[in-house]
Amino acid sequence: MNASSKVDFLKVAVLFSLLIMFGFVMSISVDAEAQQPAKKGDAAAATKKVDPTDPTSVIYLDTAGKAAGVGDPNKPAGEAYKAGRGWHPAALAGANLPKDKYGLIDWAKLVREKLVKPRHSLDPAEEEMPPLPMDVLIEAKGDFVANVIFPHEMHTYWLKCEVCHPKIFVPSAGQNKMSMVEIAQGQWCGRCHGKVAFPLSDCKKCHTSPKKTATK
Amino acid sequence: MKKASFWITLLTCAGIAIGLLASGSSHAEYGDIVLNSKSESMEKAGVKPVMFPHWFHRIRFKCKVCHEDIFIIKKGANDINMTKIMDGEYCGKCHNGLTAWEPLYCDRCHSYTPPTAQ
Amino acid sequence: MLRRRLMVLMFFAAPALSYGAVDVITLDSKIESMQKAGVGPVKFPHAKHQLKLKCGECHPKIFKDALKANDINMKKNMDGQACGSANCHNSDKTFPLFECAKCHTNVKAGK
Repeated sequence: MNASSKVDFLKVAVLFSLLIMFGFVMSISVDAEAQQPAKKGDAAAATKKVDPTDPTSVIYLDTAGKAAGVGDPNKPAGEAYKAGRGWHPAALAGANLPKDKYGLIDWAKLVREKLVKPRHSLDPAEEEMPPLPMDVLIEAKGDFVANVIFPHEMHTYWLKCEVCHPKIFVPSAGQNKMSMVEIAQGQWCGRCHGKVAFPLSDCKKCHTSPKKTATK
Repeated sequence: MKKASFWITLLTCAGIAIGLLASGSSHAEYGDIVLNSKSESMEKAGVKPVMFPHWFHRIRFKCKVCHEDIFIIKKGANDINMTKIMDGEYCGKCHNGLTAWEPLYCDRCHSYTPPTAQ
Repeated sequence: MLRRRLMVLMFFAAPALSYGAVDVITLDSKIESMQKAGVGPVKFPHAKHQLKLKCGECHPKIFKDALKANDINMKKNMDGQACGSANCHNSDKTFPLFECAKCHTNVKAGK
């Protein structure tokens, strides 16, 4: 390697580093932009206009993560649509929904804190059956793991009884021979949990009631 | 001199690795469903597979609105196609210009790009 | 020719065999509870963990370094102790606790 080629090599290397730095900074700034509208909206939350912190409001983002239109479902998706782009999942980042420790939406928190007001039927005149405030104790099979207290209330907020009863669960306490093995294989609770409801890795979200006879 | 160039290459490699990692972070929410059982027909029509965002619908509607009156909660159990949607079945129950926007904006739903193709 | 092949084979197989035999620890002190829950003893692949972790990451803080000295159960794992410690099977670094069959043997298959 002679001196000039060494210098060339150095130049290329420096250029490359700069390029990577640029890319890195860009990716950070895009993230920041996606979060910016959420911050601005905090102040204007009281006025019922386009409020990006309202999860039912902003939703259309372009591929760069910028808000391209607001969530008026009757209108095309603003700039993004005009530019021929589709709906972008990065909207999730801008929707500012509460997240659990896995970075997934904490739906239960959303309901308890009344952050969203999802409709119960397509027919506004239809009366909704109120959530059923009934907890069911499901004993864990082993000697150590805490028992499960199944909250009907949160489940009936979202779902109708017929979705689970009687096809998936016999509506009688203790009559369903479930096991964690089967749940992990996608039966019982595993039909939804881990797919559209919080994941099974979150053990203690269900196993909440410690066994009194936790011996040894 | 040789040493310096070695270190610069090393740093460059590290930079590339970090840059790739940083830009590779994407948001995927659970419940996002890719619908491509009619992939052949979709290809003919020149559209991508559908990426159905569950979470997006869930902030507006409780599960009971769609399940199981409109959609059966089982992969492959719902035979959806554009004709049915235009006839007001499945997605068309809402996406009819009344409850939600009409099925004219193809790429809003037909938006799925497989991760490898990016 | 055959002998040479055999020798080569032995050369590769011997260490692998010895690793496997020594370094899988069977955990079955809670067998009664395990059976109630429909699972069998745990075969803990120590060698596999050694490849990814330094000894000091687990010993002696999380696990005492003696056989049968550690009182492990699923509750502790869920509470963030033992296998479920913060950087272990309760994090996104590796598979989660609910995948029974990845640790327990004789897992009863579902319906």
